[in-house]
Amino acid sequence: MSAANNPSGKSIFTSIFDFLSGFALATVLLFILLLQTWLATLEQVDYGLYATLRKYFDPQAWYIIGELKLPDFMGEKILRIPMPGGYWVLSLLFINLLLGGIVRARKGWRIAGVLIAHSGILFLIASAAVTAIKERRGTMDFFEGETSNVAQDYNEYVVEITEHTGGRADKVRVIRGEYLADLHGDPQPVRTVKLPDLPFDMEFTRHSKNSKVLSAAEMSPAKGEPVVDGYYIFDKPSEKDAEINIAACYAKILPHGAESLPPFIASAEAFYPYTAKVADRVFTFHMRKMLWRMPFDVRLDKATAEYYPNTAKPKRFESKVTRIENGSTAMVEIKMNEPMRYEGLTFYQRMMGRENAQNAASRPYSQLEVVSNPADQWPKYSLYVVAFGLLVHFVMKFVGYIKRTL
Amino acid sequence: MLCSCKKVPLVVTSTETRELSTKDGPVKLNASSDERFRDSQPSPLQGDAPSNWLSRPASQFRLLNFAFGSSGTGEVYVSKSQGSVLDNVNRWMKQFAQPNLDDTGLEKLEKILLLGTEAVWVTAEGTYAGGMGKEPVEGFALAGVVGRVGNDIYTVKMVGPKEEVAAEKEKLQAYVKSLRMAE
Repeated sequence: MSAANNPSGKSIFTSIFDFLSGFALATVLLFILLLQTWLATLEQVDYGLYATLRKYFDPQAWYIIGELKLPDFMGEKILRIPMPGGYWVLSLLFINLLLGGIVRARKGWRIAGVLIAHSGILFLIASAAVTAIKERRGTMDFFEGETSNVAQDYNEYVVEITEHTGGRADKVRVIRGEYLADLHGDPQPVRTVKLPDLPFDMEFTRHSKNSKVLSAAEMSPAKGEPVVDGYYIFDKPSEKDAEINIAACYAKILPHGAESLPPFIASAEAFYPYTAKVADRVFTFHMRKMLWRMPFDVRLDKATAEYYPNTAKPKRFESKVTRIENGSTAMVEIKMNEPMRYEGLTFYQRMMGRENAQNAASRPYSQLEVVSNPADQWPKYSLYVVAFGLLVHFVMKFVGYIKRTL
Repeated sequence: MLCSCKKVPLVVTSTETRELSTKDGPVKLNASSDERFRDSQPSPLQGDAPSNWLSRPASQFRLLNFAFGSSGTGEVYVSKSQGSVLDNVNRWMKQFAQPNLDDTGLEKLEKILLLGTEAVWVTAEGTYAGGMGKEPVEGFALAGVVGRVGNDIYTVKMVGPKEEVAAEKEKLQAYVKSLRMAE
C-alpha cells in the first residue's frame, strides 16, 4: 500500500516502524514480562526451577500457557493464560527499545544519559540472549586428592558407545539427548540413529525422563512395558529438581548387513554398561549425563566446610585446587562468591560433603559448578552502563535546575 | 509443558565423539542384567538374625531378606523406603484391607528403637494382598517397624501365616533392636 492510498498518509514501512518503536508496544511487552515473571515464580514451586525456566524462556517456545492457581474460595481452579514465549517477548522488546529508545529518540547532549541507559538495557537483553544460546553448565566433583578434567551436564542424558580394544577403551561416541528425550507417547515412536564410522546403527524407543528399572520377577509390569532379560523400565513422575531425574530407554543394535541384536535397556542407574560384540569388535553402551571435557586438569587439594552452629546452613565452603595445564601448575582458592575464571570457564563453589554423611572422618568431596558463557560478565557491565547513563541524566537535570533557580 | 516447534526426524545420523576423561575408568564387560540393575553393594545395615531364619539374597527393594516358618511362606525383610512414616504404615494397612491411620492413630502405636531412633511397631491380620502380581492370601499376619532415621525411612516387615508370625514376634523385636549401620 502506498502512502497515497493510506488514509493516515503513512507508508506501510513507517507504520511498522511506528508500531515497533512505540510506547504502546513497550508497555504491553513490559506488562507481559511482569506477568511471566510473576507466574513463573509461582509455577516453579510445583514444577521446579529448570522446567519452569524452559517453559517460559526457551527459544523454542513461541507461545506458552501460563498457569495461575485461583484461591480456594474460587474453587481451586487453574486459570490458563496464553501468551508469547518470554524469549520472543524480550527479542521484541530489544527491537522496540533499539528503534524507539535509540533510533527514534531525539539526539543531543540533553538526553545523552537516557541514550546511554537505553544502550545499557539493550546490552543486558543481548547478554540474556547470548546466555540462552551459548551458556553451558555442569558440575565437576571430586574427593580430596583427586584430579578431574571433566564436567557433567546438569540435565542432558546421552548414550555413550565405547569400543574396547585389547581391554582398553577407545574414543567415545555420543548420542545426544535430543535424539532420545522425545521418544515417548502413544504410539511409541522409534528412532534410528545412523553411526557412519561404526559397524552398526542403533534404534531407540520408550524414553523415560525419570525411571526405575525393575525386575519383572519382583514387580510385574502394570502398563504393558516390554520386559527385556527379566527387567523393564518403570516410568516415574518427573522430579521437581530436574537434575535428579534418572533417564532410561530401550535400545537395539542394528549391525550392518546382519539381523538386529536383542534389545537391551540403557539406563542411567545401571551399575555397569551393556556389552555387545559386533563384527568381532567389543562395544559398551552406557546411558549417563553428558560429559564435557575441560582444557586443563583440576586437582582438589583441600576441601573446607564450615556451617553455622547447629544448622546445615553453610558458613564457608572453600576448595583449594591446583590447576594443571601443559605441565605447569597454579594454585587457586575457590570460595563461595569467589569463583575461578580461566580460559572462558568459570568454576563456582557449589556443594561439599563427605563420602559417608554419617561419618565425619570419611573423605570430604567438593562439587564445583562449571559455567561456559561468553556473556558471563555482560549483565554486570550493562548495569554499570545503565547506572552511568542515569547518573549523567540526573546530574544534567540537577545542574539545569540549579541554573534555572539561581 | 513446553510448547516446542522443533521436531527431530525419526532417522538421524550421529557423528559426535568425546575424548576419554578422568571419569572413564575400567569398566566391567559382559555384565548380566542382574549385575547391571541390582544393587550389588553390601547392605548399609547389619543385624543379628535368629538362627531359624533363612537368609536369602538381597533384592532391589530388600536390603536384608529372610524366610522363616514351616509353611515356607513367612518372610522378613528390611527395606529403605520413601514417603513418610504414616505413608508406609498406611501402605501396609491397605495390604490387609485395614482403615488408614491418621496422625493421632500413628501416635498411639507402640514404639520401638530402630537404629537408635524411635520407630512405630505395626501389626495387622487378615487377607494379605501384598501386590507384586500375587494373589491375596487369607489367614496372614503382619508385624513390622517403620522409622525415620535421619532423612531415610527404614522398614522391617514380617509377613506370613498368623500363627507363624505370632511365634516369631519376640524374635523380630530383638532383631530390630540389633540392627545397626554397617561399618
